[in-house]
This record gives sequence, C-alpha cells and structure tokens, in this order.
Amino acid sequence: MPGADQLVEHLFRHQAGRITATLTRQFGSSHFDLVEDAVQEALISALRVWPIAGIPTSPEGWLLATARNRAIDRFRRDAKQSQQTDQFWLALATTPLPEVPFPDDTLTLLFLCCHPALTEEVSLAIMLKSVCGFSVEEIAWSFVAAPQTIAQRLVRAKRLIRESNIHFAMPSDAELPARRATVLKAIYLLFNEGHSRLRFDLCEEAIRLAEMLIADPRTNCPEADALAALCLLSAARMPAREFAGELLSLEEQDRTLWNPELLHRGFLHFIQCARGDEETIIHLEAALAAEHAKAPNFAQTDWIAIAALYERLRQKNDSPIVAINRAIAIGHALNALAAQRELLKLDGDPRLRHSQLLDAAWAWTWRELGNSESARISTQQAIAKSASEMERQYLRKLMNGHRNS
Amino acid sequence: MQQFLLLLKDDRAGAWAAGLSPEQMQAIMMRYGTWSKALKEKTTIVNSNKLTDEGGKLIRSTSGSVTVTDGPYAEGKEIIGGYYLIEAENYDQAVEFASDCPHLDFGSIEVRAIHKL
Repeated sequence: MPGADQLVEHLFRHQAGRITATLTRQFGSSHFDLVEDAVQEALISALRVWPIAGIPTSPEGWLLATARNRAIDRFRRDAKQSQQTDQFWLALATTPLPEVPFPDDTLTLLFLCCHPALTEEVSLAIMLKSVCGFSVEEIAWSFVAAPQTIAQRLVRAKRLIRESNIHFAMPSDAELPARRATVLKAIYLLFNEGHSRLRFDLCEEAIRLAEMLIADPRTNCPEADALAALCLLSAARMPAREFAGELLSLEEQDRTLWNPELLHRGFLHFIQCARGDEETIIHLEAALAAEHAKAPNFAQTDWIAIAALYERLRQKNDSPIVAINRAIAIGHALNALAAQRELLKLDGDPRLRHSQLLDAAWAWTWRELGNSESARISTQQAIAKSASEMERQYLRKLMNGHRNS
Repeated sequence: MQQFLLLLKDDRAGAWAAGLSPEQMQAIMMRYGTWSKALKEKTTIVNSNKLTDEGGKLIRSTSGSVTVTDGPYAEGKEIIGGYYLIEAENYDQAVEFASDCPHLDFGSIEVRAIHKL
C-alpha cells in the first residue's frame, strides 16, 4: 500500500462499534439493522480500496463518511422510506459529519444493548456484535454456542429495540445506577468467558469496556474500577497459565511472564475501587486477584488473606465453587486436614454432582497428606466428570506425581 | 528492466468479503501491507490505483453508430478492480512478484508487459 502506515490494532473492530453508535444516533435506533449493514459495507469497501490506494490519513473519518453514505443509499432504496420528502433527504445528506476525532457514542450504544427489555443472553450477543465488533461466528466460538443460536438472539435483540422504541440516549440520572449494574454484569460475563477459556482477546475487550465506563463521569463508579482491576490483573497473569498447550498449576506458573503494564494498571484501579462504601462481589474478586498478583512467588502467597476474602465472598455468593476455593485456601493457610473438614460440608451438594471441582479438591488434600491411593481415586473421579481435554490432561499430570495447588 | 501491469480481477460486488468479521478484514489488510512492503524492497512500484466498484461505461461503435452502455457487469467473469504498475526484469520475475499477493485468495491477477518501443 503506497505510503501506508500500520493500522492501529483492532481498528476495524473498534471503529465498527463507534461508527454504529454515531449513525444510530443520527438515524434512530429503529434503523439499527440498516446502520449495521452500512458499517459492514464501509469496512468491506476499505478492505477493497486501501490495499491498493493507500490507507487514508484519517481511517476513522473515511470509514464514518463511507458508512453514512451507504446508510443514506440503503435508506433511500427501502421502499417505505421513499415516502420521505426531498427536504428530508437534503437535511440528512447535508448534516455535516462530525469533525474527526468525532464524539464517541459507544457508551450510549453499550447501554442500549443492555436495555432491560432485553434478556441477559440477548444483551450479551448484541453487545458483542454491535459494540465490540465481533462476527456471529466469532461470538459463537467464544461462548461455545451454535452460530444459529447467536443469530437468533441478534434478531430478537433488534426486534425488541425496534418494538420497544428504545431511544438512543443515556439513561436518566434516576435510572442510571440500575442500568449501569446491568452493563457491569454483561462486561463481567465477557471477562469470565475470557478468563475461563484462556482467551486474552476477550479479557482485553472487557478491559476496554470497563475503562469506557470509568472515563465517563456519568458512569464512573467504584465497582467499574473493581471490574477493571479484576480484568487487568487476570489478563496480566494469563500468559503464564499454560505452556505448550498444557495447563500449569499456580505453583508451576512462571511469573516472569506476567505483563507488568497490565499489573500496574490493575493495581491502580484496585486502589481506586476502595473509595466507595459498598463492598461488592466484584470488589472481593478483584481483591482475590490482587492477592495473587502481588505475591512475588507461590510460597509468599498470603493464603490467610485469601481465605478471609473467600469467607466474605461466601456471604454474598453461596456458590459451591466459592466454598471449594475457600477450603483450598484454608488448606494452604493451615493444613490439608483443615481443608478436608471444610470439604466434608460440601459432600452430597447436588450442585456439585456433575462437577470435577470437588473431587479435584479432595485429590489435592490427599496428595498433601501423602495418601497417594486416595488421591488417585479422587483424581480419577474428577477426570470422569471433566468436560475438557485440557483439564483432564492437567488432572492426569497431577495424578502422575507433579505438585499442584 | 521492463514495466508490467498487474491487473487485479475479482467480482465487483466483493462477495468474497461479505461474511468476514472486522478482525478478519484487518488481518487481510495486514497481509497486503506485508506483501507490498516486501515488493517495494525488491522493485519499484511505479503506480497503483483502485478502480471504483460502481459505475463504468462501455462504448461501442457499430456501423458508425456509437452506443454507450453501463458496465462492465459480465456475469460470472472477473472484472478489473485495480492495478499495480511495477518494474521487473521479465515475465518470470513479474509473475514471481505477483504470486504471493493476498489478492489471489479472492480473485486472479493478469500480468501484462508494457510494450517498449
């Protein structure tokens, strides 16, 4: 490409969201579909033109202008819209485009996608498509769902937005706290998927969205800082969690692979999130991430602090997974027998029937106590329940004699 | 040293790009960037241009009467979408330069020598 510079990373994906937002504001949320199609057309046009003609000085401005022209063309072609008067077209076509860099309406689009009229899974799908710029296939792959399922959720989202006549605007001051909570939950779900599936790109996206909330005074809140901290501190440590396609235990992980810049930003947000009065679940999860992230090595992990945090987390979230993690933390802080006393309280919990976590926890305690036969039995039970080959490989490795946490 | 036209052909509607995600598109952009950067190190790109995907006119004269139609819209055939004018020693070298162009994943490239007088 003659005279071209490199494109900023994820420019297409981020601009897709940003331009969708700006044009939805201009055309109205009832024309959401049309806007999305126009944005896609603009990206395709860029893909066809820029390689030969060169990348424009302002790629963002070029994409916005092209997308808007395509949107106007589509709007005209739609038979119903042709009822509009010449004055309408003139007004629409001659409204000046905002100066580059143009105001960022992405936050408003994010809130639109998380509107209460939409269910959680529908919101998540439309958020990933329209704000984050992922395709249906990419979303389906990220969330282990059929593309058909995602496509249906998107159709439902757009129908609900149209039928509920949802205005493209930030919620009122009165509505904001509740609406913001929904947005934070959606970002958390995105992060969770990224964290559990070792998908750095999804965590990165969650970070971007959390920081978008923090950057705007209307939506800035301690919980957003806590969420940003959680995402950053997890993403920072992700490179160490696997090696050559294998999961590594916390003890085995090479901490020199942690990303210092992400850690720094994560700790900064963690400090800032302490300013509020409320200690939310996200605050506690961020605190747990901070405990691990600040330990220079496994041996210096403050397991007592971690156990206490799990105790507080358990008061707000009685998930058996929290209880298991608490038991393991107690095991590290005190001894394996203490951990076993806690794990016994979970025996027979129907929520854990199909999960390998309890068996894996028991296996750890038996290994700590030097009882390799019981450890082997528990590990095999865990393997039988495990849903992932990577996980099974990890459990087998533990069974065959490597230390773990 | 000769000059060669690399005529990039594909379906004007760009149907091949329809299902791509923004991230996938950007990855393709990067491949073009890598290719053209490498090409500039090997030879001179005299000129390059993209032809518009819309519009176009075909002019013909039949028995003295000139007709103008919109086009080209040749069904199922590939239309020139852009070109590179490059320098190369000979056809073999020009073809070698064009052979790893990402465009080949989506269309074809016609290589033609510029006639030297």
